[in-house]
Amino acid sequence: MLVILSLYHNLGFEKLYMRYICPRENKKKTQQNIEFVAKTIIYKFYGITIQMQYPLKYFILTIFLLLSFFSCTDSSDCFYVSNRKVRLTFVTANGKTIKDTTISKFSIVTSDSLPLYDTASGQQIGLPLSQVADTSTFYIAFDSIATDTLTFFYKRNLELISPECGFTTRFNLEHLKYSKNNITSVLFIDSYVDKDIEYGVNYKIVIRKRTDFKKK
Amino acid sequence: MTRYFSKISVSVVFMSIFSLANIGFAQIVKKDTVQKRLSIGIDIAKPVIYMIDKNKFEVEGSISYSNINNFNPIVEFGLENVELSQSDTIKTYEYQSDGKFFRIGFDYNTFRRNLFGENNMVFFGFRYGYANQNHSAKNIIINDKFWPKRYTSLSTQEIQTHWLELTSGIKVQFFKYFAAGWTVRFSYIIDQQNTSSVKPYYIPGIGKGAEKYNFGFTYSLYYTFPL
Repeated sequence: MLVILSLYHNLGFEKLYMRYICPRENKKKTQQNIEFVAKTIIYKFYGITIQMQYPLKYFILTIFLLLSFFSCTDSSDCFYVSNRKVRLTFVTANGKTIKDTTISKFSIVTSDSLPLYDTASGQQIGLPLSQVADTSTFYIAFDSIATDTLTFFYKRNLELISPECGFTTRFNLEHLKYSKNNITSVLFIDSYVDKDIEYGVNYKIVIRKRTDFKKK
Repeated sequence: MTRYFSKISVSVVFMSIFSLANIGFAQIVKKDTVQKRLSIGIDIAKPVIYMIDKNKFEVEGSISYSNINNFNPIVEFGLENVELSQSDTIKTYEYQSDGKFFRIGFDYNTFRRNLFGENNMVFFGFRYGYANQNHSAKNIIINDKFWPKRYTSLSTQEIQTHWLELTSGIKVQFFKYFAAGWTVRFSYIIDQQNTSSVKPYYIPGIGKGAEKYNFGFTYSLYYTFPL
């Protein structure tokens, strides 16, 4: 229907209407009145009286309308449900300068001895936090020659992500306790554990240089 | 996407139906006069959406007064009931929310070229809104790949929300006493008292409750009569 109405207006049928149809119905009226009546009919045909008289306003309103439709829809953020991980980046320190570094070989297990990384290499890791406790502990073995312990303390919040995805647990990091075998210090970056942090960082873990690794 | 198109289609159909009813009602053009009128409106989009999506039931009405100055005071009010649930291997929950709301403010009519005796409007407006709701959830099970599953529930919590709203829209008269039109709404939550840390998924009168900013939409049928 709207397509037909658009053609009606855009292809000049409106003028034909005014010239041939309106005069027959409104012979005694002035041309100005005829045009106004015809235009009004057309405006109302669209159901939108401003469409032709206020094209800019109509455009803006249409954008608002479309935005409102999208805002009403449920964004399926189910990704977060299975990816609520605290993000860590390994760095080395040289004086006050820190530099991202890649660990060639490391393994990580949970406090329940569940392996998360097995002889992996990388610069950044994601550690899933427990939803049933306010702390989660992990053991990191660097190059199979030394092990450090990381214990995260956090607050848990319940959130309904969407009708499709259901509830999930949001984490706000409060504190990190760590051993100092091959970790020298920790830099806090962001407390919020979110899906967007996949490419960001919660903590930077400053490790000793490879040659300085302590033996087990 | 089917759902989006359904919502859009419903709106377009309504616009078309009410627009077609206008043909033949053109009258002699006279100097524009805006009479004092009272309009009683009901949002007809919400029941239609409920027929498509049974999770959320909403009713919304409005009373507005139009006068010669084109500043039209308006009061809007409504109820909302939300029932969401899922049960599969990944997640299980049952969520419920009941609430009511009102908005009070004005619409400024910028459309001055009405046919004699008609009351078409192109308006911009402002509202203050208040909503009170109770929400709760039970049988929540959140799966976990590495740690034990979380079993929890949310006892009934009361939430009060205050917000400000900018509105814009149109209202087209299609019979002597009847008009229809849509309103888009941009709302900003200024305050919320929540007895728990769990945000409501929907806030009555606003929509989704996760963000402070929200866009909304109503399509109303009005009974308008001169005073």
